Amino acid sequence: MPRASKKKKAAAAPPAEPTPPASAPVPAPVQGLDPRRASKLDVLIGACLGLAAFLGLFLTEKSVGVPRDESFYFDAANAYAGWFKLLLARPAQAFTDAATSRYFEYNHEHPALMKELFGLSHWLFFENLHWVREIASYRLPVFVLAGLFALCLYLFGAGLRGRGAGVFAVLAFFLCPRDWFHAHLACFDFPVCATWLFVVYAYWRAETSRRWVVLCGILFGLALATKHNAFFLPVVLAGHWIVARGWYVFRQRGFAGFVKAIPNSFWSMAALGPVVFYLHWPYIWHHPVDRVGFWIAFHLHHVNYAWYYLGDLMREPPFPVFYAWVVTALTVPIALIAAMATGLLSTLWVAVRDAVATFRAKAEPTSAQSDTWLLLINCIAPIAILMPPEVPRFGGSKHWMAAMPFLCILAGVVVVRMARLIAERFNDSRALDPALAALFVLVLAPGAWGLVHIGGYGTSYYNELAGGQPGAAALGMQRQFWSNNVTGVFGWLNENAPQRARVFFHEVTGDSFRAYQANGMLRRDIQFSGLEQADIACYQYHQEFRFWEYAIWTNMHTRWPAYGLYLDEVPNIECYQRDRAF
Amino acid sequence: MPEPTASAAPSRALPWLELALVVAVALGALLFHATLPGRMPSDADYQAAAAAVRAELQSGDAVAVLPEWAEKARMFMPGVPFVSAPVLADADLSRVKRLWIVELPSLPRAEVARSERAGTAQMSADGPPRRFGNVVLKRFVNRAFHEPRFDFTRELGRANVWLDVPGRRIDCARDGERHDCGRGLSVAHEIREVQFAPHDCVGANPVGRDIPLVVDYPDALLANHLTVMAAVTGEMGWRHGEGQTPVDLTVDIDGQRAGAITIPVGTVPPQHLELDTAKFDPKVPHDVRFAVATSNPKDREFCFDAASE
Repeated sequence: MPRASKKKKAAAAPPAEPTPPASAPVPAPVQGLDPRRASKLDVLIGACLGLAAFLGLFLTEKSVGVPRDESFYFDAANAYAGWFKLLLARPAQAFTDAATSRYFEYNHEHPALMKELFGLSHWLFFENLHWVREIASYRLPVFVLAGLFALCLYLFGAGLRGRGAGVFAVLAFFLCPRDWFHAHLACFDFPVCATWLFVVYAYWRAETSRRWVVLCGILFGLALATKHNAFFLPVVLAGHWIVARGWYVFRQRGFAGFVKAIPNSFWSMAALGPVVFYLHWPYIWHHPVDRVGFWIAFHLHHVNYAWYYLGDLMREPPFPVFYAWVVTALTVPIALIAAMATGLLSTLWVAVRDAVATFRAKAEPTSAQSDTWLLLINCIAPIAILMPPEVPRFGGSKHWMAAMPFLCILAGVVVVRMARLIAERFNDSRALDPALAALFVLVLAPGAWGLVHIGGYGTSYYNELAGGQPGAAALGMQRQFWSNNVTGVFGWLNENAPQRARVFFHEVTGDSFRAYQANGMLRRDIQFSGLEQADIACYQYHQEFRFWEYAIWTNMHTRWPAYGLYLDEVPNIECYQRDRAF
Repeated sequence: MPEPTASAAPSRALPWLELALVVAVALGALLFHATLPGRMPSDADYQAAAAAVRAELQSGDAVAVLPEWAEKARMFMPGVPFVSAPVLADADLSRVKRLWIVELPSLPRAEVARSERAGTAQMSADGPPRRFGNVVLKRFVNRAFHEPRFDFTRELGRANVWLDVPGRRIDCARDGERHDCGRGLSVAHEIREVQFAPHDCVGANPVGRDIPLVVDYPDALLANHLTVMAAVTGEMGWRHGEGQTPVDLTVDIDGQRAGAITIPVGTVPPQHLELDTAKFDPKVPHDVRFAVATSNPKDREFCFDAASE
């Protein structure tokens, strides 16, 4: 925060509750001061939320198993860290085509940024400093990112809709059990959700700050370097600009004026994004066209994994158009869904109403209208991207998690609005804070309860509308993915498996298995085995894998599990012992 | 940035409606969480139900669970025959004399009454329901029960199996109920997935179009009908578009072609064949021969089940 007069500081701070009415203009920029800049207090609040997110994730990290993909990223991280070691030891060699190809060949269907961070973190915090266990060392960069995400989400929410909405948004996001789960993993889904938010925030700040114009481009490059979802960001933001302002500029000044008025953040993204992306990934340095082409083609033609949805095993297109909306309605705590839905609908109503009025009056759209559209479009676009029937559906809500921060802000708006309503009813401004606190607790408590209940098995969480895990099983929904719930039977295995028992871990990768043993979660004498040789077989319930369970019955001469992970009675993992009761 | 409090409320009632909705939903959600543990059966409930089943278990009995997905009860009843099916009403219960149903009616979305009615349409209640905490145990007598005269899957040990290679026959070595044909190919009594349900059947993956895999029962007993079920199993049934080809199963009785089934590519449901065998003398054994073939055996995991009834 630069030194400024108290008057200037007041103008810069996000509005404290109660916020001014919707028709109020954004405070005019004071020369040299960014009106969207956060106050010290807001940065402090955001930092506290960020620290809480970091600590919360770090302290609960052990409860989350290693999904298949994460185990692949561990391997990739180690390989990429090897390149950085080479860079320090023999820099000239590190830049050769042979070296970049060799170290970055593995898992080159995804950009390298997060895997580089996982690898460097592992190298530093596990191999050298021995500060944390091995799995945690890979995950640390995600926890740091989560902290920054919480800070950014708070600042954005508070800047747009006041402190109450900002705080609520952060709490709501992390009290969604599925978001909480994904924020633990050394994968890309939460990171790209975070970088999506960062870019949108930078784009918003860039409207009044040149520095953020540059940052917007750099952050867009980093988002691209995180996961391909970021490709959609310029499209979404362009949509926002056209809806919020572009149409007006076009009407007033024609096409030339329209082009001239395009915000600088777009030029920044166009110029800096590819540069940052290119620089972050040594694998493409010597073959940019071929290898970027492969990356894009891989995701344009991504295989669809079978996925269970409302009693239908979806294997190939056309897929249900409203899949993402339905899954959201069944996997976000229902009290939050209610607040999000009313927030979305009321905000949409206001935005459309104001837009029509502005259009008819041939008036210039306000910044407030622009901000409202920015929120709305980012609530809808990440989910809408999944709507075309040809788009693969596997993976659940993580694929449109980028909508969640914005939906959480809208839910926060609703909660604050309701608290004000109560205070107004009592005609006592002192009632506002207690009402706000009570509503925070009431709306967030079901999510917190669900989170504590489901623990580290986040992909198995279903909300109260679904009827929890049992209701979801009855509805024919995917019970889990991809194999991390196997940790639920480790206690039994460690206690009951014979010495040097051969165990068939269905769907668990060899790398996950090694990680479990290396991190003390599974006895070291237990052997990773194929089904035919196994003494014990642990099956992971997936609808498309039912044949595996029956193969276990045939092969192990038993149809009766010896132990299992049953979440509210729903079979998730079932372990069979050879010849048990025949 | 302003918050659209005023403009978001087009009428005075709407904000209160919104408040009422969100509060009601939140309270409902809390109620759901608070009551959920009380709706779950305990291990003791299962153990008590299992003990009751064991005490009165008879040959021909089987146990089913409602809702069908709640199969944890199996863990407490090792050795007790189980009916496992995504939908109880779709299960073949013709060989179950008495059906025990372990019901968990208090689970969310359980709807056990409807499933029970559909699943026991041809059964009569046998005694009053018994309650063990959140587990309800019921027993039914199956009026449609009948034992097959000859179960080709269970009698696989009596069959001869060979590959009909042009110009010669390659016999598969018998090892109990298993017939080893070499190169990783065997014919055995297996439990295969057919449309997400387990089926006891003869696992007989085809080898090729010109090399029929033959499963021959030289002394099968026939009755009025010979029913045959055949399927490409597991996810392979669905698979298509990668060079997969239809699978043919032919049935010969005493050297004469009696019937055939073709499993088209991409077919998940099992295919059925019912042959009228009343003309065959039921008192003497007959030679019943099944032969399976396909042009491209890749991904064609096949099994059949047959019974004379």
